[in-house]
Amino acid sequence: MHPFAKQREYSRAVIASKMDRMFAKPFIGAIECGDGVYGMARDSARLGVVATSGAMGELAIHDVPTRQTLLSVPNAHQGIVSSLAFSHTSKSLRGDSRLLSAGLDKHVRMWDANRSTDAGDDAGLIDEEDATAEQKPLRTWTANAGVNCITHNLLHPTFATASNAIQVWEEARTEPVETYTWGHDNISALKFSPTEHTIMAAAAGDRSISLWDTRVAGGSIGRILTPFKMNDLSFNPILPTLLLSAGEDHNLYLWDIRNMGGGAIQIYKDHVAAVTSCDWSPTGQQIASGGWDRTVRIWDKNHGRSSDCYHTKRMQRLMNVQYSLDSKYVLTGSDDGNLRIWKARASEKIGQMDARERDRINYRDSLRERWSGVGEVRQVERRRNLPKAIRNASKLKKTMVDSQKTKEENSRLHTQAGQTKPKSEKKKSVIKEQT
Amino acid sequence: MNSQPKKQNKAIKKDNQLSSISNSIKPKKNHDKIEIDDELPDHLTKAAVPNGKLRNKLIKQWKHKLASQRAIDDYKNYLLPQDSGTIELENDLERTYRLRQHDIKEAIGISTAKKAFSLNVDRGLTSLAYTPDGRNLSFTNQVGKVASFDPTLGRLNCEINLNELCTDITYLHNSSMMAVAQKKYVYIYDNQGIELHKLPDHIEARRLEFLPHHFLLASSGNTGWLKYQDTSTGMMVSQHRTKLGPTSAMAQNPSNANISLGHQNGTVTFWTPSTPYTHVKLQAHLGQVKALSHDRHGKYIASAGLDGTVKLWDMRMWKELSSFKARNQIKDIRFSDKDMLAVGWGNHVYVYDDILKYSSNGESPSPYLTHHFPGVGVNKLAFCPYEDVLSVGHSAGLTNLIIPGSGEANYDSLEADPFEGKGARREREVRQLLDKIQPDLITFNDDILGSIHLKTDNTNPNAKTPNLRPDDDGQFHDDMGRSKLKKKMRGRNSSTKKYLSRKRKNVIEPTQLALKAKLAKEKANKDKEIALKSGNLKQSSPSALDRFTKKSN
Repeated sequence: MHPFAKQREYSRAVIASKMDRMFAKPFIGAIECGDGVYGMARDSARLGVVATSGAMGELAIHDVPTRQTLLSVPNAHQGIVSSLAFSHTSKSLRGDSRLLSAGLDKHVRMWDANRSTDAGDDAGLIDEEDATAEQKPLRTWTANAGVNCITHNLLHPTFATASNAIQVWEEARTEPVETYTWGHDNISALKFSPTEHTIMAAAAGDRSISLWDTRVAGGSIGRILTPFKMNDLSFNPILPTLLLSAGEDHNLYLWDIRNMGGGAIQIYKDHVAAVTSCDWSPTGQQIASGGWDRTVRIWDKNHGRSSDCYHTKRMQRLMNVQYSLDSKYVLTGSDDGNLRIWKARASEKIGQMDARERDRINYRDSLRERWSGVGEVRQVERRRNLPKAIRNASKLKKTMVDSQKTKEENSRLHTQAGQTKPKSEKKKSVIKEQT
Repeated sequence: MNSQPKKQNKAIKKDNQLSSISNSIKPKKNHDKIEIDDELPDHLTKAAVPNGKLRNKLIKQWKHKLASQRAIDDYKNYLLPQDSGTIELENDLERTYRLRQHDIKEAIGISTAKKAFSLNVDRGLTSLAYTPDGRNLSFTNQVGKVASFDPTLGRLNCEINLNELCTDITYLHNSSMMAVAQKKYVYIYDNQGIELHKLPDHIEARRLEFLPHHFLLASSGNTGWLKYQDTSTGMMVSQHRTKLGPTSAMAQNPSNANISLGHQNGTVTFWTPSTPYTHVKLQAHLGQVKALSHDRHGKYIASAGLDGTVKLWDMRMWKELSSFKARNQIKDIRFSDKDMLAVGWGNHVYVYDDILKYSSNGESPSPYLTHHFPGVGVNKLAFCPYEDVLSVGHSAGLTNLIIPGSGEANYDSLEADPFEGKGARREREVRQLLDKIQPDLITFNDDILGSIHLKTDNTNPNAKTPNLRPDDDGQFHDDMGRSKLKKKMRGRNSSTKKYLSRKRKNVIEPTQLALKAKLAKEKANKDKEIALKSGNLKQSSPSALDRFTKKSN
C-alpha cells in the first residue's frame, strides 16, 4: 500500500534539513553601547532587561525587545567597569531592582535599576532626558584592590567581589563580611551557584579553579590546577553539580564539582582561540560561548562539538555571552561596542504560528533527528560555512593537534612496552587537586 | 474489608476521555504509556549492549517499533474493513472457471457490470495502460492510434492518429501526460493529444515503464539499451547497455523500482539506474522471454517464454517456485494487486488465484476464471487498480473482464485516489514532486538506506578482507580452497624456536636435543588430533593388553 516509505521519508528529511539551513538567520539586531562591552548582566526578574558597561566608566541598562535604554550613567567609575550584577533581595524580587557595578577603581556601586518600559510608567515611554539625567549611586563600597568581577547571591542580599582575593559583602554593611585568599595573583571569574546559594566558584590567573563555601571557616572547599587558565565559569541552573569553564586553551570544560580531581566530564572543542565567556541556557541543556575567535558557538550539553556557530563580518572579539531568561535568545557583548541579539536556535520562527505550521515544523524536526546520521541529511546538518580566517585557523589547529598526537604516539612506540600509557584528554585537564 | 475493593476500582479506572485524544496534542505527562510486556530480544540484553545509556535508547526505540507495528495491525483491522471478495462456491463439484462473463455480469451490481465493456478498434491494440488511481485508460496500436479516456464516465480525453507503429504507452505521474514508444523515438503527449516532447535519445524503444515515485521514464527496445530519463527535470539519468540484443520484455518491481528485462536468449536481467551492470542474470527460459510481471510486494516475479511455460520465481532466494505450460504461444502475463495472475495466450485469457501457493507436480494449475475470444488474438493485459477489472487488448480492440477479488478494495487517498478532482490532482502533483525520490536511492537491496555498514572483519583492521565464496555445502572458501586466511604477519617467534634455529650445526647440545624431541612430540600429538578430528584416524578402543605396551615418555 505504501511503497518506498523509507526512501520517501529520507527524501523529506533531506528537504527538511535544507529548509532548516535556509531559514537559519540567527542574527536579530544590535544595540550600540559605546566603545566596547566589557561587563554584562542579565536581570533575573525581568525578561529582556540587560545591563552593559564599558571601558570609559560608563554603564547602561537596556530593554532588549524595545531596544530602549532604561538607564545610562556615563561616569559610573574611574576607568573600566569590569563587571556587573543585578540584585534582588528576596522581599522585593518583583519590585526592587538594583544594579551593582564594580570597577578597577576599587569601588563597588549600587544603582537604582527600577525604571522599566511597562505601562503606568509614563504610558510606556521613556523620557530620554530622564534616562540620561545625572545619576547618583545609592551606595558605594570600597574593596581592597581593583575589582575584576562581582557576583550576587540569587536569594540573599549578599554579593562577592574578586580582585587578588575574594571578598564577601552584605548589602547592609560597609565592610566585607569575609575575605578569602589562596595565594591568588588575579581572579578572572567568580560565580555564585544559582541553586546552592552558599557555593562559589572562582578561576584565577594561577590556572586554578577553586570552590568556596560561605558556611565554611576560611571558605575554601578545594581547588584544582589545570594546564591553562580559565576565563569564565558558569554553574548549571538545573543540575547544581555541573560547572562549566571557558578555557584559554580554546576549549570549554564541564566539571562535576563533587569530583573535580577526576578530570573534566566533558570537553567542548571547536573554538579556534581563547574562550572568554560561557553561559548555560536556563534549561540547563544548551551552552553558548564566545571568545577571541569572534564567533559565538552553541553547544548541546552532551555533545563535544558545537551544534552551531554564529558570526558576522563586523563582530569583534567577544567579552560576554548570555542567554536570555526564556532561553530563546543569546546576547553577546563584543569589543566593537555592540550588544548583539541572536536566536538560540538559528532557524526558529519567532512570533505567532498557526497549528498547521507548527505541526509541519515539528514533523520536519523529527524527520531531521531521525535521519541525522544518514547521507545527505548528515552532510547538510553538519556543514557550516565559516569565515576564511576561522576555517584556516581550525585547519592549522588540526594540523598542530595531529602532529602533537603523532609525536606522543611515536615516543610511546619507542619506549619499552608498558612504560608510558596514553592519558585521556579528560584526565589531562587536571594537573593537581588541592584541598 | 469494604475499603479494599474500592481501592482496586480506583486503580482500574481510566480516564477514557483523556485516552481518546492522540498523544501528539497532549502534554507529555498525560501520554499513553507504551506497554510492552514482551521479553527483550537477545541483541538488547545487558551482555550484548553494556553501555547503559545506549541500551536504554535502543530499548526505547525497540518499544516504539513494536508499538507502531501494533498500531499498524489495529489500522489494518479497523480502517481497512473492505474485503476484496471472491466467487463463492456452493458445493465441491462447482468450478469457478466454468463461469462465463455474462453469468458474472448478471450476478453483480449494475455499476460494476457497466465496467465490463468492449471497444472495437481497427487493427486492434498493441498496448494499454492505466493511471495509478485507475481512473484513466490509454491505448495504442500498430497503425498509431492513441487514445486516452475515462472509462467510468465514458469521457474521451483525446484520440490521435500518428500513422506509424506504436508499441507501448504509459501514463506519467498522472493522467495529464503520457509517453508513447513510436517507431523511432519516444514522444510525450498531454491529455489533449498535443505533442509536448520528443525524446530523441530513446531510439527504437519497444517497451516503456514509468517509475512514479522517482519520476523516471525507462525505455528499452531493439537497440538493447536501457535508458532512464527524469521527467521532472528532463535530464537523462543513465543509459545502460544490456549487451543481450533486442529486449523482448520489461517490467518494474513496484516495491523497489528495479527494472527487469527479458531477452532473446531467455535470460531475465535486473537493473537500477546507478549501476551500469545487471545485478542478477536469471536463465529463465529456453527461448525468448515474452513477458514479465512482478507482484505488488516485490517478492515474486512471473516470466513467460516462447517455450510456452510460465514460471514463478522467488526473488528472495532466486529459486523457481513453480512452472506450468500453456497450450499456445503466451503473449502477456500480469499480476493483480491481490496476487492473481492473468495469462494471455492465443485467443484465451486465464486468470489464476492462489498461484503463489501452487507447486508444480506435473499438473497444470486450475484456473480461477477463463475467457475465450473467438478468432481474436490477445495482445496485452492490464488490471485496473482498485477495481475488479482486467482490460484485455486484442487484435479486435479492447475488452474489460470482471475478475471478482482481483483488485485492492481499500484505497489510501494519500497514495492514489480514484475519486479525486482537479484541485486535488494539482495538489497531489506538488506533493509528488516534493516527495520525489532521487534515482540514486534505487538499490537492488532496498534495506540499505539507513542501515549500518558492517565490516567483514572487525578484529584486525589491517587484515585484507578475505575473498571467500560459498561452495555447494555452504562452506566458505577462497580461490585456493582455504577457508581461513593464512597468518602473514611477520613477528618475533617464540624463544624456543629462535634457540633451535641458530646456525650452530656442528655443536650438539643435550638441551637442544631434548627441546627438539619435545617439539616433535607436540607436533605428533597435534597431527594425531587433527587426523582424529577429520576422521582419517579412528580412535582405537582401549584393550586389556594396553598395560603391556611400553609407555613413551
